[in-house]
Amino acid sequence: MFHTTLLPAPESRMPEPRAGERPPGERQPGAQVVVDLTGSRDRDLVTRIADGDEEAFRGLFRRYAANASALAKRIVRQPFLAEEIVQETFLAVWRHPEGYDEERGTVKAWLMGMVHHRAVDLVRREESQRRRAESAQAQDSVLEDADVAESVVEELGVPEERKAVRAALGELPPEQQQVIELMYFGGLTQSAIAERLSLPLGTVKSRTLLGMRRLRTALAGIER
Amino acid sequence: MMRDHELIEELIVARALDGIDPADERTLEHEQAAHGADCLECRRLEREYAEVAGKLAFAVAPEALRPELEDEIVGLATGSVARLEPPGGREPSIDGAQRRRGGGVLRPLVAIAAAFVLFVGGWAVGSLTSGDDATVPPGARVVAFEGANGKLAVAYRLYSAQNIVPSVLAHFDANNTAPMPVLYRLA
Repeated sequence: MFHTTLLPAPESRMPEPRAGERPPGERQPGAQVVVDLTGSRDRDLVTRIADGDEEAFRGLFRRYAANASALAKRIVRQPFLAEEIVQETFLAVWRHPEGYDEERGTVKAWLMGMVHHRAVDLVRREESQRRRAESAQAQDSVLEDADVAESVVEELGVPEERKAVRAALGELPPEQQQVIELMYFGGLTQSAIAERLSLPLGTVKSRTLLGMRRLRTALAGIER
Repeated sequence: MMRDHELIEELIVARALDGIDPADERTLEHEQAAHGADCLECRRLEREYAEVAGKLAFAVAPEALRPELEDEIVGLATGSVARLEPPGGREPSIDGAQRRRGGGVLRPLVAIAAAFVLFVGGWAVGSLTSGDDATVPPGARVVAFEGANGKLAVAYRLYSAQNIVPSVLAHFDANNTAPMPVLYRLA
């Protein structure tokens, strides 16, 4: 006879920088320098990962895993699935670092794009998951999230970027913000949004385009 | 040409947000093929909107991760930890993810042949037989188990005063088992 015991909930912790490593997001004087150093450091990590450098892999993980997990969870609405997506994404980075093309953008955008794509794909593939995500998405905006995690945000050193992104989203006309959130955080296609909002597809497309143009302008120059 | 890029921009935006419809995806591919892979404007639009989409990810507050997650993923990446694939080796999905998981990522795979009876929450599996005397160690806590086609997989963790050993997965052959649930996840 084998008896089981319920496990206690695992304690959470924040990713910790290694000794001598600058904490994620910590800035140095001179914004432009920070921009260059940030992108350069991420690219260097990916280059080292391609050489099988485990510490570089850990560095990239510590820098972005918490954000990746939050994004995935926001879309799939289940923590363990979000963790699975994070795992698959980072394993993909380890196994295929050559997938990063510097000419197509930053490491950060590449990484978050992979997380987002996997999360959206999962939501669309599974009917039950889709219903759960759509139900949750219908109820809230990402801007209405309670900021209970501010201490976490502070610790990761990303408050400025987060504030800037949320501010930019908040400054969009509501109808543009709505379609972008439904698409990005809800995992809906444009036609699905048109159906849900009873709007012509062309209207959804134009609102998406106008909103993204505004965001592009507002977020230009915002970097970690 | 400018008009062409307005259409392409509209489609690139939708794709950057992963919200493009399949028909529009095909249209975008067609349009971009017509412009050629070297079209600087197309590449600029793709790069810029990918960046915008990437930044949107940071609108969500980052969350603390499980303490062991980093080591687990590094272990999987470097091959020091094997990945438990669900029966049939299906591609990752919600079902697959649920089967593989016990509240964390996939656990070290340890093939242990054993004989024991599992009794959880009033659900009895029955006698499970195999050809070896190895057993789940005393003090182990089962975090998940699943059964299919006469096989039972049990994930468990070992606890001691100072250490929590990462979860271990054991496979058992099971004879004459009652119908088992696809997954029991206890933690």
